[in-house]
This record gives sequence, C-alpha cells and structure tokens, in this order.
Amino acid sequence: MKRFKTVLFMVVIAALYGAGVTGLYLSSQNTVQQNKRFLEQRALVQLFGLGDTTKLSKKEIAAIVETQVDRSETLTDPQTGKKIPLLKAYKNAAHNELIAYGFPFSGIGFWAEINGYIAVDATLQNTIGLKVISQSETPGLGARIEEPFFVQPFKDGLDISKPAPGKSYIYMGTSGSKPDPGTPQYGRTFDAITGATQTSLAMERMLNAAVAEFRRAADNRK
Amino acid sequence: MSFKDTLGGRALIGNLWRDNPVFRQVLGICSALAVTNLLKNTLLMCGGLVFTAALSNLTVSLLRNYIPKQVRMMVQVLIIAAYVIIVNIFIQAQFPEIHKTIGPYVGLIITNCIIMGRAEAFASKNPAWPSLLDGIGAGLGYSIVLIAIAVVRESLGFGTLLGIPLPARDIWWYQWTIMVMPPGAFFMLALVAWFGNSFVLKNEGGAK
Repeated sequence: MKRFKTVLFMVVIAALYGAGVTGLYLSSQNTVQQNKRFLEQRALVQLFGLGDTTKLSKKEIAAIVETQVDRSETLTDPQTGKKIPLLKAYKNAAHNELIAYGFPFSGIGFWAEINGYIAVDATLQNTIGLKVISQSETPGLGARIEEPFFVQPFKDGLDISKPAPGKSYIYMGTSGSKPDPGTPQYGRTFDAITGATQTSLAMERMLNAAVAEFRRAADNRK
Repeated sequence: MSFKDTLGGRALIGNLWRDNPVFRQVLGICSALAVTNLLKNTLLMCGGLVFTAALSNLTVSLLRNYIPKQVRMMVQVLIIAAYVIIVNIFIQAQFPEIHKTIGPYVGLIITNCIIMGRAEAFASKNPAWPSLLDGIGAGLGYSIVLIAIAVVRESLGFGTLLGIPLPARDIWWYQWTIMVMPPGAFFMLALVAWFGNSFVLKNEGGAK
C-alpha cells in the first residue's frame, strides 16, 4: 500500500508539472516562432545590406525581406543531389536590379550545429557578406563568429572562384598576416579567432563545403 | 527579535557571505566556471538561479510533509526542472537575443548543486518563508561570487564591462586571452575562494 502511494504521488506530481510546463511551452510557441522569424529576417537585411536594422521597425524589416528577397528558387548539387535554397536580393521591390545571391551553410562547430547564410555578388566570384543565424559556441570565444571583426573579410569580398585542383575555396588565416599574392590563400583568407581554433577550423570546413556545393549547383543551373 | 535573528533572516544573510554556497559550501562550481567570461551572461545566469532557487525551495518546503521520503530527491529534481524550463521559455519568448547567447547554459541550472543542495538541506526540513529566503540568499551569494569573477575576467580578457569598452583602454589594456578561457575561471575562482575563506575565518577568529 505504501509503495502504491509513493508511485501514485510521483505519477500525480509528474503529470501536474508536465501539464503545466507543456501548457506554458505551447502558449509561448507563437511568440518564439515570431522571434525566430524576425531574427532571420533581420539577418537577411543585414547580410544583403538592404537597410539599417537599428532604425527599422520589425514590420519594416519583414516588408523589406518579403518584397526584396526572392526565395522561390532551389538549386541542385549534381554531385550529391542536395537541394540548395537560392536567395536573390534586389535593390527594390520591382526586382529589376539584382544585388546579390545568398545560400545557407551549416555544420558542426566545436559544441553544436552552426547555421547561417553567405552572400555572393551577382558574378558569383566574390562574397559580399556572411551571417550566422544560430550557434552554441563558447561565449566570448567561438561565439565571436557573429561579431563584425570576424565577418568583415567576407563583407570586403573573398574570392570564391574555382580554385586550383586540390586547393580550397576559403582558408583560415592568422590575425595580422596576409597571404602573399600568387599563393592559393591570397584573397581567400579570413582571420581565425584567438582561443577558438576549433570553431574557426569548423567554419573553414563548413564554408568550403557550402561554397563547393553552391558552385557545382550554380554551374549546373546555367 | 530582529530580522537577522529569525531563521529566514539567518539563512538569507548567512548565504550571502559566511556560508556562501560557492566558496564556503563549494557548490555551483561548474556554472561559475562556464558563464563568467562575460558579465552580461553572468547576470542573466544569476537572475535565473535566484528565481529557480527561491521558488524550488518554496515549493519543496510547501510539499515537504507530503513527499514520500524514498522519492524526495526525484520530486526535487522534477520541481527544479519545471522552474528551469519556465525560465528558459520566458527568456526565449521575451529576450530572444539573449537566449541565443546563454540558451545552452540555462538548461544547466537544473544540475546546479546549489539548488538541489539547499532544497535537500534546508527546504525539506523548514517552513516556507525561511526556505524562500534561504533560496534567495543562496542565489544572491552565488551571484556575488560570479559577478566578482566576471568583472575581472571580462575586464582583463576583453577590456570591456557589459560590452562597454573600459576608459582609455587603448593606452593601458593588453588582452589576457587566458582570462576568457576556462583556465582563467579556475584561477579566479581559486583566488576568490582563498580571499573569501581567509576573510571569513579571520573575522570568526578561527584562522590557524
């Protein structure tokens, strides 16, 4: 009888707390999804330089993404068959002036998955931006992949044209040392983060994979 | 009888310094190491911990006469987990930016020994009001130590406080990368524990 009471107590209290927490979770899902959508929309506006997000309201940011970013096309990597969503950013809602293309990247960082977007110019030869959407890297170290100093080389433009056989599209470098012209790394290097070598290496790996897939898919599209 | 002489008052004030959960009871060390390289993350973690410790202590105390002894720790974990999930959902819904930064650590509050320790050592044996104060005190005591560590680590590691650059940083500051990394937390925690224990023991006249 005593054992039955104990089990019953556990069942009742687990059911009560489970129901309460589940209810709270479900009631907050709308807000959480809206937040997630907003963070992605804001990231795209920043990625393509479509406006100053510090001065725009949530509604304005959503409107810019809806009218100026076309997400209708999907590319296919002929080697792996992987579908790659293609983002096309236009200067205005009339879609008569293409600013850039964008495509997602993802991979395992030091701790967990990292997701984001790379933007490339209309010639598909240079990057024009990089935005990390989600990551769980070490705060203050690997998590700095979101900071301006890390993404600046991608904004300035890294060469993503087809590299020499056996060479990479993108290289991780060390802060302050620029590769010499003529080397495979020239124009293709971003700075690693001090104290976060594994995250930096993971970024190098996943960006190379994403760019290679995108280039194959883009060539297949022509 | 003044407040500090009551059971709750003694629990609240004692946890702040004399019985500080981090450097006296050596509880909550894992998160003290994990989140203290940025003050902002530390403050949020402390807020979550104060909330969870206070309410889980209160709940455990209110249910203490009904919880079967054999399963009391399972029930305590269930109560703590529920409050941690509430904190997580609240931050996710109201502060999505912050959740991006500290989301992985919020779940770890469940495993924070301070909460379980206080629930088992105090709340399961005492009335609700003193238990609530004990939880608040334990959370604040933990927060004092973490904030002290975070201030030093962020200042030396990044030259900032709450992300704001320190005055004339370009002139005097040189980055101590180790302060941002886990070994920096070990060094700082050891220093704080040494300072805290020496000071407490000295004031009690017990140092030998």
